[in-house]
Amino acid sequence: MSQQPVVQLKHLTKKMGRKTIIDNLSLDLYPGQVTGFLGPNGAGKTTTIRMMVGLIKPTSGEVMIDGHRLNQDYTQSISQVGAIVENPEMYKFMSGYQNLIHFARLQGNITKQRIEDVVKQVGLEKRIHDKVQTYSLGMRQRLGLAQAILHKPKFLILDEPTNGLDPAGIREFRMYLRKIAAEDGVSVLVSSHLLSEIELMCDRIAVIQQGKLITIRSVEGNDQHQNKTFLFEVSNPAKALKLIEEHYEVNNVEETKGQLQLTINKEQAAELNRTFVENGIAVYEITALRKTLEDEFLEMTGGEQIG
Amino acid sequence: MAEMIRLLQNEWMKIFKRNSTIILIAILVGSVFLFAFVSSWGNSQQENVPWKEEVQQQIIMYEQQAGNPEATDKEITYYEEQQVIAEHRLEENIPPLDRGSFGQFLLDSKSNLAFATLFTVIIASGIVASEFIWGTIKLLTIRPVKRGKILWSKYGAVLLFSLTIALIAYVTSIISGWIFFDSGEGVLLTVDNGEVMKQSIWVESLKLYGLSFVNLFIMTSFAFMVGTLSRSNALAIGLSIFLMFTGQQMVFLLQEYTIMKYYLFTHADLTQYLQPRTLVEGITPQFSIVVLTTYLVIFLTISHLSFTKRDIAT
Repeated sequence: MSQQPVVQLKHLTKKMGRKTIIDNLSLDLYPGQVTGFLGPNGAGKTTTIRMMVGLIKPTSGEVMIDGHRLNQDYTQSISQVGAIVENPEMYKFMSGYQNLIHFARLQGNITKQRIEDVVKQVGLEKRIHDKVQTYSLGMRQRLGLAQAILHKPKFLILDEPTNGLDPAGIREFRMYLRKIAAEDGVSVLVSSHLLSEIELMCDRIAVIQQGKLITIRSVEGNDQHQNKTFLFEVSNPAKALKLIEEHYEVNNVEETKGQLQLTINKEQAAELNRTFVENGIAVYEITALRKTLEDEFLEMTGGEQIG
Repeated sequence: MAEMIRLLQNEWMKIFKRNSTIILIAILVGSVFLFAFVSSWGNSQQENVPWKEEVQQQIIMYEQQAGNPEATDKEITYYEEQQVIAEHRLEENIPPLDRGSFGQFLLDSKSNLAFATLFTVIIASGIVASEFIWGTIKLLTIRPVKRGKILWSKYGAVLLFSLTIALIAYVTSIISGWIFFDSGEGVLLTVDNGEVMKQSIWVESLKLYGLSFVNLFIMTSFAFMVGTLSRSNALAIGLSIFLMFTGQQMVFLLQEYTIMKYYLFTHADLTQYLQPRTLVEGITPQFSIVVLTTYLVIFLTISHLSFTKRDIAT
């Protein structure tokens, strides 16, 4: 990325007593990018997020937001941040609208029109004047998102944002995130334990374990030349196996119940299909077995509980 | 300034949108009415002694008190003044406030402020602690407003609330007094530079309420500090109420020790200066104000440091 990062974590370390909770963590987040933040329970995700919004002060290292140092220039830096930290906790005895008025007053310079627009965006128009104590968890998430985007921040932190949303809500939410990232250049950090969610929502993922950043990489795209595991279901597996051995230099073919499993790239898979058909073998199904993020995650973190 | 007003509006909204606040105010209003009703009934059961007899007895008592060899200068002055007033009443035929009169009730009703302190302590304890209990502290502090300002807006809201509560107590006392008491013929007298003067019950009652409010204000600030420090309103309410009841007892138990001159509860009740004797000998209103201000500064400094420096975790 040639762009300037919106958020920079520089050698962030947090010690509580003798225990090191976060250990020398550095991470850059760029505009227009949705980053997934993963880690097992107790890895330090929440502590990191709390340091990013100034709820906790780091023992050493610093957080830069939009060119300002969070701990020196708090109001400047934080004005560019919108966040849900853990649960979207609101004042339950007030209506959703009163909650938004409350947060708008803290931000300053937010018009009634902007509040109405945001309410529409998160789909709460019908219930916004009801007390929050009557809301479902999904509705609270929507209200949480509303307060986070009220001031059009450049950086959005969402902790478990799809928790409690129904499938339609999750989809809507995903589309919305992609939209503000693409159109408004917002940088988004999403922490979630739903790995399939992260996979669909994010451009890249950062994995932390025991307070250290262990991986940061792009979410796998559709790379033509990358090898994947394909599963071929064919009419004559024995003949097919023979053909493969004759024509290709593939050594890890497995056969189970009339299905052949082998690791090749997309081009090769298409070619193999043609070869089968030309030799009178019927191909019933071709499946690309992608390694899921979950498999990778478990591999990376050594199978600890996901959280 | 505009920002501070917005923050105050927020805190005010959060206090008054809660049912519990409305219930507290209703209880206060109800209790004042009950107090008025019970005392008017109590007075109606009492025998009426002609006021002149009563005043004559008082004169004898004042003379004795002033003549007591152990009496301090302050006590002597006090009783002499009272004697002057009493004699003036007999000469000019001016009756004192009748026990069953509106005026006397209004003056006595200042004790309702002690009761109101319970309610302001509850609000002050919770105003910071509740944000932690609800988890809303996170969304409250990640805003382009310094944490210190948020705390000051909360303290400001607590003060405004205390004033409102005191005003409600006063106004309710006036209304219930009108309902349950007669205006009576008695007149309040005071001595100014050796001259006996009429004193309006309005001025006198506001003076009493004002002095009693200081006690409420100190207890409320104390509760605010404990709530901010402990982040638990139960502890703050408990501790403040415990001190409200035991704080002054300590003065009686330990009044021999000089250290008690610097003890908060030796000074919290400023109405003691209207009496012939103070809780501890040798204190003056000026000294009390210095001590109370010092305590207040300490309470607020501790609150400020705790709120702005400590991490917000869990």
